Amino acid sequence: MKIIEFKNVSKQFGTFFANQDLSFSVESGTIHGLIGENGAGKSTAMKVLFGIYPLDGGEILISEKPSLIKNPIHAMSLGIGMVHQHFMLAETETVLDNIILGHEPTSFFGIINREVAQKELQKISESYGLHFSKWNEPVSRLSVGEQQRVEIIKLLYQKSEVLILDEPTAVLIPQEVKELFTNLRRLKDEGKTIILISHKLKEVLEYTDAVTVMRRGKVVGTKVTRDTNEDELAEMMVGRKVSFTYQGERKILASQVKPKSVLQVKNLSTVKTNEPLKDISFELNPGEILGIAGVQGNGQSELLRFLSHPSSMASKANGEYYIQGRSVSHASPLELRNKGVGLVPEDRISEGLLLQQDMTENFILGQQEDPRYISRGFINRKAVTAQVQNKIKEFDIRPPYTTVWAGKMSGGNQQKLLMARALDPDPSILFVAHPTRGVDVGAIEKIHDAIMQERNKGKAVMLFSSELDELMDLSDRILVFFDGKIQAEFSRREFDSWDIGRTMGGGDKAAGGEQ
Amino acid sequence: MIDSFIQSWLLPVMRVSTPLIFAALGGMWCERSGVIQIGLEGFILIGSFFGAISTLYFSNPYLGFLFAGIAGMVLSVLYGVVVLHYRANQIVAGTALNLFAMGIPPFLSKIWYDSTGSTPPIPTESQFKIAPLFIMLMIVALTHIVFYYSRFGLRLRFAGEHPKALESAGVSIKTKRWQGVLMSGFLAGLGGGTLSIYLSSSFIRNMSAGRGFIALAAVILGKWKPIPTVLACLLFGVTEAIQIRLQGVVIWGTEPVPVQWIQILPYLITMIVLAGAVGRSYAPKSLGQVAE
Repeated sequence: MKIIEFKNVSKQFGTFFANQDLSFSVESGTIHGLIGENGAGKSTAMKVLFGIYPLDGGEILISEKPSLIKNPIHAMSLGIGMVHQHFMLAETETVLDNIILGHEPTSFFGIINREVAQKELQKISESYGLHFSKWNEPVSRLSVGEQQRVEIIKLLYQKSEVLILDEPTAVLIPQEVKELFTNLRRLKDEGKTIILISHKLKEVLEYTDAVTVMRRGKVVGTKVTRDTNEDELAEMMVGRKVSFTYQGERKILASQVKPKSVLQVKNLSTVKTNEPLKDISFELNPGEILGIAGVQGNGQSELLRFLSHPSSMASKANGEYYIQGRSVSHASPLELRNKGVGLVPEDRISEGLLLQQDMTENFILGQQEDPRYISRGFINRKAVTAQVQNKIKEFDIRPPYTTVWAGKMSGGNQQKLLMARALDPDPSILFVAHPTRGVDVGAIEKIHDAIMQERNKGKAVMLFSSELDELMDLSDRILVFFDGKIQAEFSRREFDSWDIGRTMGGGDKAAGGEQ
Repeated sequence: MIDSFIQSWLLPVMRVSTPLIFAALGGMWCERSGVIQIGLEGFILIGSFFGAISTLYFSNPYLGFLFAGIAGMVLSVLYGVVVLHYRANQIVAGTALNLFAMGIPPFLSKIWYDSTGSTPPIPTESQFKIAPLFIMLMIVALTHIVFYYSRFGLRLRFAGEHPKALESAGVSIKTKRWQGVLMSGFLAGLGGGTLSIYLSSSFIRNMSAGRGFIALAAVILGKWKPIPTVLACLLFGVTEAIQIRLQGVVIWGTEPVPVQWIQILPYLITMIVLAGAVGRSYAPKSLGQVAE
C-alpha cells in the first residue's frame, strides 16, 4: 500500500520554486531514501508533508486518502513523525520528561504520573528492541547516538507510523550509524515506514528499499535500491558525472620523506579538569595534511581555538606551542598571521563572515594592515577590489560581483570566499575547519582542490572535519580526538573507516595497525 | 534559647524576606517560561500602593492583599502585550515599565489623598498580624510541586528551555509565556502588598527600594530553581535583618555608625554574592529570545 503519495506538489517562496511538481510515493513498511544536494528541496518537501509549510499546489495522499495537513500537530495525529537534524530535546530535562512532553499521563490536578509513563516507555523500548532504559537521566548526559534513539522513542510514544529522519547520520560515528540502521530495520519489520533524508549515497544504497532523487526542486526519479548504483544516483543528483574522491595528483614531497616540523604543540592541557584537552602533543610537517577527527565536542574546537588564538586561552590552558621554533603560546591572531598562519574558521556564519557586508569588506577582514591594501594609512579600495576580482575568477565564486553581500551567497561560495581570504597572504601553515559543511558537491571539489594544492606546494595544513570520508580522502595523517585526548594516530596506509570510527567512540586502535 | 533565636532572628528574617520571596518566585516562573523579567520592581511598587489603598477602602487586609496581586497582574498584562505581542526588547520594556510604575502612585495619591506619594496610615484593626507569612510558605510549597510535578510546570519549563520542542509537541509557546508573565505580575504584586500592609502600615513613595532587583538577583543566585531561589531570598533577608539590627548600635568609638552606611549593606552583599559566589549561571536556554 502507498502510505504516502505526493501528486504534483509545489511549494513556492516568492518567485522561487523550492518544490515543483513533485510526484512520488512511499510504500508502507519500507525504508525510503530521499536524496539530493543541499538546496535540492528534500527538506522542504518533508516540511510540507509534516505540515510546517502549507503546500501551494498539488496534493498529498496519506494511506491513499487525500489529506490537507494543516500543521505538525495535525501531521502527528495522522501518524507522521519527524526527527529533526537538530534534536528537539532540552538538555537539562530528563529523558522521560522530554519524551512525554505534550502527551503527559496525569493522575489528578494535572500532576504527572511518571510511573505510568516510564512503564509505557519501557514497553516500547523492549517491543522494538531498542535497549534503552536511562529514562531519568538528563539528556545532556547521553551520547549523540542515544539522543537520537530518544527522539525515535518519542515518535513511537506518539504512535507515529511514518518516521521521517532528516540527515540522521551526520552526527554519528560509523558504529552508531550501524546501530541506527539495525534499529530502523527492526522498526520496519514491525510495520513502520521510514523516510530517510540523506546526501550520503553509500548508506542510502546499503539500507533503503527504494530511493527518490531530487535536484533543483524537482524529482529526477525513483529507483528500487537494489537496481541502482552509486554512479547512477550521483549523476541523477548532480546532473553530471562526479567523483567523490580527490582525483588530482598527490605529490610526494621531500619534506615527507625527511620531515622537519614547522609547528609543535607540547603537553597542551586545559586548566579545569572537567573540560577538554588533556596532554595534547603533536607536530605538523610541511607538505602534509593532518586530519583532526572526532565526534563533535571532544576537544577539537578548543584545540583550534588555542592554535588560532592562543592569547584568548592564556588563563584556560597550559602548554607549549611553537611555530618555526619560536614560542607562540601567548600570541594574538595578528602575530600568528604575521608568522604565516592562515585560518578558515569553524563556523562561516558566526566566525567567518559579516553577512551584511559585501565581498570586499569581508575579504579585507584581518588584512587591514597588509601593506598591499594600505596607502597613506587608509585602505586602498581599488587594490582590494582588484584582488577580490582576481580571487572570484580563481575560485569561481558566484555571483561574481564584489558588491554582493556575503549573506546573499550560498554556503559553498561563502566557503570559497573564506578559502580565498585565508590563502591571500600566502600562509605557510593553514588551519581549515569544516570546509565543506553544508556545501554542494560542485563546490566541495573546488575546495578540496584548493586544499590539496596548498599541500602539494609544501604548505602545512591541518584539516578539522566531522566528515570521516573527507578526512580519509585528503589527509596524510589523522589524529583522532576522544574526551580531550589524542585517542589514536593513523597514517595514510592505515586508514579504515571502521577502525577510525572505533577510536572516535573511545575504543583502542586495532593491534597490528602499527608498523 | 531556641525560642529567643526564633523570636529575635528567624521570624524577623522571614518577615523581611516575604516580599522578596513572592517577587522572586514570580520572577522565576516568568524567566523559566523564557521571558526576561526586570519589571519586578514596578510590580512590587504598584502592588504595595494598591494593596494599601484597597486595605483602607475595604478595611480588610485580605482583600487588600488580593488587590495588590491583581494590580501587579494588570500591569503585567501591559508588559505581556509589549514583549509578547509586539515583541519589544524585554530589557528596554522592563525598564520602561519600572519607570512608568514609579509615576503612578504619586499621581493617584495626589488626586485621591492630596499627598505627594504616600497614603494615610492603615488603622491597627485592619493590619495583618502574621497571615502573609503563612501564605508565603504555602506559595513556596505549591510552586515547588507545580514546578516539578505538574504538566503545567513541565510545559512552562520547556517554553524557556526548548520552545521548539514544546511547539512540536503541540503546545503553544506564547500561552506558556503569557502564563509566566501574569504569574510574575501577580506574585510580585503580592510581594508589594506585604510591604505596605504587613511590614509597615502605609504606602510610602518608592517603598520598593530596589527589592525587585534583589529578587531578580535571588533568582539568578538560586539558579532559576524554586527552593534555592527562596534560600537566596532568605540570605538577602538576613542582611536586611542585620541592617535593621545595626542601626544606632555603637560598634567602635562613641558614635553609632551612620545609618546610611548600614543601609548600604543589603545592596553591597547582593553585589558581592552575585559577582563572586555564583560562578557559572544556569539561565534557561531561550531566555529573552522571541518566539517565531
